Amino acid sequence: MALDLTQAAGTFVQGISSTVKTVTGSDITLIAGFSQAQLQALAQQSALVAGMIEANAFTAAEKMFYLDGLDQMARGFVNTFVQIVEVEIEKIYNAVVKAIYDSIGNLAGVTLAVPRAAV
Amino acid sequence: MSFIFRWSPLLRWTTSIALALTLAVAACTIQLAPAYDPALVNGMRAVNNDIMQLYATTGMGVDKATFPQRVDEYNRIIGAVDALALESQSRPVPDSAIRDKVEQALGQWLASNPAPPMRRDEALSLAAAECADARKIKRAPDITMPAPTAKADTRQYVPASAMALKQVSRAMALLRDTDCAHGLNNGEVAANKGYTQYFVSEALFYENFLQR
Repeated sequence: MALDLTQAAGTFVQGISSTVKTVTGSDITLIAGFSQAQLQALAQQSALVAGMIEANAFTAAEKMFYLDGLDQMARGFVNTFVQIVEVEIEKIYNAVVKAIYDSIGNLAGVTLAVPRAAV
Repeated sequence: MSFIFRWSPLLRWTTSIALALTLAVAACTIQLAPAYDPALVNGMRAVNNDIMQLYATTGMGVDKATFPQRVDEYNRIIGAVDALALESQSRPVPDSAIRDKVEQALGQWLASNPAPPMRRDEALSLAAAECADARKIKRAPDITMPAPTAKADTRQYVPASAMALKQVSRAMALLRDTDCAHGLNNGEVAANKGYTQYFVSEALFYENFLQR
């Protein structure tokens, strides 16, 4: 029984691309929504802090804290975003690996367990 | 002809095993982030409830004379938030070599905008000093912490939720010490609320995203 490589390659491509679409589809909407909400909150906080400082309604400590806090909020967002993208990369990578193994299983007619990388 | 039927499944097995072995070396699943912890998420939701209730109480403006009624609530919240931050940070996260490569590519902005080294949280120290004066106890001495030494080769992974919860803890400490020394007006409470809710929603989003 010869292995038809063209058909086999087609099975792989189909399996992988459909898996990646399933994994990333809803996540991208989630991440976009989160980013938008956070940036809007940051804008509102900036306006509030500016208003409070102008009205001289903060103590000296609070003024220091909230002004520096705006920088902390921006950094926090970038940090969180990077880590969320890392999780997404992990999901995509693992989904592709699983899709490869599933395709092998379909072609060879057996079920294979996906191994976990040893670190 | 019968031997062909017997060879066919054997050939299948050999093919699949050969393919599996070649792929097994290169293609195994990875883990780049800590595991999802439902207890941590529930803890965060519970403490956020308490924080919001505190904002509701103080949001109308409070006098520093009534601070003793609230001090226990403040300290309970700060303790709970600190414990959750530690819990978030204590989870094992493998595959650091791969993650370092990913972060190198993604962290361009952070690399070009490094955070200034913070030796002393000036705002919190000032607020704490004012509260100590109001309670007529001795101020803590001004200690300058030594600057952190050169970074180790592998950066420690601090989950986004741990960093966010630390910010919440700082904000609650500021609120407590300002309440203690000056009382609060609704603008101060609103600013604090904006700060903590920003980081709480960040922490919750990150933790829920770990559910994968």
